[in-house]
Amino acid sequence: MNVTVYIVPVVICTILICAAFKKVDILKEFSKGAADGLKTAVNLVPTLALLLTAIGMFRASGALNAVTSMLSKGAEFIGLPSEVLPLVLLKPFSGSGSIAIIEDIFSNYGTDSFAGRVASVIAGSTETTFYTIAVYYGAVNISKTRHTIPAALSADIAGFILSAFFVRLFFY
Amino acid sequence: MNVLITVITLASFAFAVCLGKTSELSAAAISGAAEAVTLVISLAGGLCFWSGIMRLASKAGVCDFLVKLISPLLRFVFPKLDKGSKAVKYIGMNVAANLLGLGNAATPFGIEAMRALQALNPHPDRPSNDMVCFAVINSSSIQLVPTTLAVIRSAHGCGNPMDIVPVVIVTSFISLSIGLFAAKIIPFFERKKKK
Repeated sequence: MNVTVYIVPVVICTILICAAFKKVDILKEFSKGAADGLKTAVNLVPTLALLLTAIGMFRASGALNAVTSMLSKGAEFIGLPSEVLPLVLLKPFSGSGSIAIIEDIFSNYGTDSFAGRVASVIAGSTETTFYTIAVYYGAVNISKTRHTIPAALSADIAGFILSAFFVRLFFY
Repeated sequence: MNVLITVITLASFAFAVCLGKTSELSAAAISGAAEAVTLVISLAGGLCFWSGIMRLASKAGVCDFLVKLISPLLRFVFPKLDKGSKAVKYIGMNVAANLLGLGNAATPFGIEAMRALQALNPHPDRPSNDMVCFAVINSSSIQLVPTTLAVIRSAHGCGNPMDIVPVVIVTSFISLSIGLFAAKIIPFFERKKKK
């Protein structure tokens, strides 16, 4: 029996109990949050319209296959399936770009394939590093970053390699 | 990003011509934007639901609880900051919001935390060691329940979209530790170089 099937119901029930206990106006606050979520979803459409087209064209033309097979030796060396390489290359730069790539990986290989699972773990355990650093240092007008980029990228690279390693360990 | 999209599109055209796949290319070009709309429609319900639930969580005081829970860890990462200082308070709220996956709430706290750290920074033209550590924490994902990812997985017919959660948490924790270790250790080498 897999305990992970309990995550969703337990999270929802715990939060509802806490909210009821604190006398939160559940319906009102939930709808406010849900409206924010809907806005996020709608705001994704214009960017994804371009990104999904670009990635779809890149795959249909055979270019994506050419690039991944070129890099697959290096990927295999660190244990990554070559199908997730586009995600690895794009993830540090663009959040909506990564959603587009994940969508592409899931449609082509399935969510529960090795590549699908590794892609999921990479998506869940790394961030859009360069974007985040730009936002936070931009807010205090700092343009020199010292060792921020190497440190943040070492976390990302560790995340990529460990994703494949732990998916093998947990699932296969 | 703008350059990347242009390069990708031009490369696609070049490859399609060389490999004789131009008809597939035009089909992909025409259907791509429609896919964006179907994708977002299939995700919209899930995104709505989870951001509603997570708003309830923060209203119910789950954030404050998480702040208390992580404050010993924060003291370990930022030993030089005063326990009651503004910087520590905002860092705690930022990290708690990130744990819950409240990106929209986490960013304003994060920016306030950065400003508070900048006020303590002796060289305002470059980030202090604490600022580097804080940037590393925010540039690696620490979300406990990856809801958006689960929504995308279930939209693709995944039977148990959360089955990757234990792996995600273990991987995030180790990769963040490696990033923080690098952030702590690199300044020692820098100092040696200057001497």
